[in-house]
Amino acid sequence: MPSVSEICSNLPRDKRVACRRSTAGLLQRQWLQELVWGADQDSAWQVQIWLGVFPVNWRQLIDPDLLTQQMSTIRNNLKGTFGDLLGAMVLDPALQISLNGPANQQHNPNENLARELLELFSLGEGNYTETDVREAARALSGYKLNKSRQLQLDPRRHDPGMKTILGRTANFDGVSLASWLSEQPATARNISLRLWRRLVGPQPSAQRLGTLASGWRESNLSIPWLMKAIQSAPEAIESKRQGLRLTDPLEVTARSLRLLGSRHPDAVAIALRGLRSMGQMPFEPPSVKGWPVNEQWINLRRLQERRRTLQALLTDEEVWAGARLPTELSSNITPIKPLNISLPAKASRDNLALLFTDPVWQLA
Amino acid sequence: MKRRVLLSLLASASASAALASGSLNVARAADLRRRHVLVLLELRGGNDGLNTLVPFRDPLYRAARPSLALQDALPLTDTLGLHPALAPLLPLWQQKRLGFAQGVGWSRPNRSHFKSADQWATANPSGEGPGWLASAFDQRRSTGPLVALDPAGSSAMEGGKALALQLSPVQLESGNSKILYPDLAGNNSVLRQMLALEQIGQAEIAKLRQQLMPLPVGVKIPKGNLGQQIALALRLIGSASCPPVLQLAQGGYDTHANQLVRHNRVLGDLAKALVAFDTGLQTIPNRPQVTLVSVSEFGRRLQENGSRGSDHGSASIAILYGDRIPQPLLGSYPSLSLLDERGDLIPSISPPQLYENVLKQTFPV
Repeated sequence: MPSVSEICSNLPRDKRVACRRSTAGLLQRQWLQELVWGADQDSAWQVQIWLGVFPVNWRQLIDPDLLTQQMSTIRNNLKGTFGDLLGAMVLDPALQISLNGPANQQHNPNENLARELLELFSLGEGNYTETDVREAARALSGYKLNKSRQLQLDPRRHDPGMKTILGRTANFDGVSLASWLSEQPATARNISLRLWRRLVGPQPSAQRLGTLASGWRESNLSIPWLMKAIQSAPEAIESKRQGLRLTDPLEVTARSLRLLGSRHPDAVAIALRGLRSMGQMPFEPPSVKGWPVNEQWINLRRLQERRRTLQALLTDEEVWAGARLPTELSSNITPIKPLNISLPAKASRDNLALLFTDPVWQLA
Repeated sequence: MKRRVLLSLLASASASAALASGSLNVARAADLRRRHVLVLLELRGGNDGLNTLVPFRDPLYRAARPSLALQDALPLTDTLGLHPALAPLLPLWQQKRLGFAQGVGWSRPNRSHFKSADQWATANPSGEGPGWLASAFDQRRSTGPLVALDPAGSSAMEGGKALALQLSPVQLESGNSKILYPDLAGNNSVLRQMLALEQIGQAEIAKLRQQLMPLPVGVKIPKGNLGQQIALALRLIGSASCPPVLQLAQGGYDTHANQLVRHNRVLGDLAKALVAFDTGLQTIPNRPQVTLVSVSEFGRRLQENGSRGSDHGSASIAILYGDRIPQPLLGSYPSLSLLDERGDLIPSISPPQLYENVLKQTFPV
């Protein structure tokens, strides 16, 4: 996991901007390296997927190092249940601060976190009313960062009264609200759908989504169960076989770096610069909805950026000097046959260029 | 992108290709003159409106900016003067080809470059949704293309149905790449969409490239990125099929420290580039009407900071240039005595109002 320790808000005011920028830059470099070459890539990519569900842009934080806390919380919950993960995210400093959580107080309500919690992190659009949002905001009021940088309920700012949310009246706070939301069938559907779209690509049928969501609820929203159920669905296997999903920029960049094998710092720098123009710089999600998935990435300029970045990786002499190439480009490195080059082929610079600019290289 | 959209794009792309292959006759020349090109100029970093169009007689201006107040602004009106680095633009002001929108901005803008740039690009305080130019073209059922000349592209053009392309000077030098036909995708829908889009994009770029006019003789193109973009813009405007929207960008406006030197340099480059653009346009015989509008994330604080610079503020000015500038000064200059609670100038024209004003001139509904 990335480790940065600088707490920028402890510095004098004029040093903070530079501190935030360098902290974020360090995080981005470390995280990309972990996704590409890390010892436990499977967990790293799962964390990345959940960072798309609970997205925080470092620019929204006075202390970008809070993102490392969010990431270890996610990682610690990967083998657990979505209910626990949601509870942990509702109390996560980075996520709360990015959605004005600490500004939400009994006598000065701010509904930002409550609304996104209902709309994006749990139930999904159309499954709640404006009253639910207001009541959820009351439940979430009064959390404050304490000295050990955890969120704590401040009784002077919290609204202690009864709240009625989705038909249940109780003295909700953040934890009991998260647990009540995770019991809702709509939550299982919404989250299954979000993960399905990211892992499989094409929309699931209503029937598939229904089976998946109810199976997931029976497993008590076990995260490993959901991952496995999605990936072993016939549509997922078919999608993999036929390359029906368009990769995220981060995936295709990681895949290209791995094939090239060069760990020269310029390779990481070129990749990060490219990720920004391709639209998927780590820790810079475009909105609280997270990143686009599959066909939502199709945009001419961004597709051009993908090619340009992968080509830039090949044209840098120092990066190339550090390349550790396989003996040949085997035919199983793409899901279907590339259009520009026939595989297997010699792992030459020219052949890599043909592969990297091939639309099929963009498919998962 | 939906299939329907792709098909309509394909149809329009082939229709305009057929149009472009015809010879340039008299009717066509008249048609060209009736057409309009909107140029969006992005000044990145947050341009200091106070030191661009300067309230040089205002004692509050001098008091708030002991080291930054300009002593030698070039008077345009009784109260407002031009930054001396913009002196080359004075003739354009006199010819009524240059104007300014005053007090442009969001009220209490977000101080982040990133968030603010999104708000400007989408004409929406949330910063979310399609770009304002993309929306305008969708509303007019026009397919563009909208062409960004800056390598980083322009999010104001993206997110709609109209084709947003990027044609940077670098791309002109690279050869044509091989066209991959969508049929190669079989029934892989995402691959088919990618290939179809690439095909349209490549065809449009090839067409634009083919029809580029040579650079007008006698125009001195200044060095640097903006100069290169201006040169390419002139060659496009002179061609038979100039896209209706072009985007240019210049960086360097985030003047937190040592502003006098840095602002002087970027404005000097900007003035040279605009003069080259104007000179070039005058030499093109049959060309569309041209309107340019500048945007920037925010203006800067009235009060200078401790590093002889200025921090992110609110209302600023927008530069207007072109064949039909409705009035030299749009809106009213923000008061320096009536500030918002953060000590910032209060805007009188919002970005959506500025855009509407420009669109009314260029592409009336």
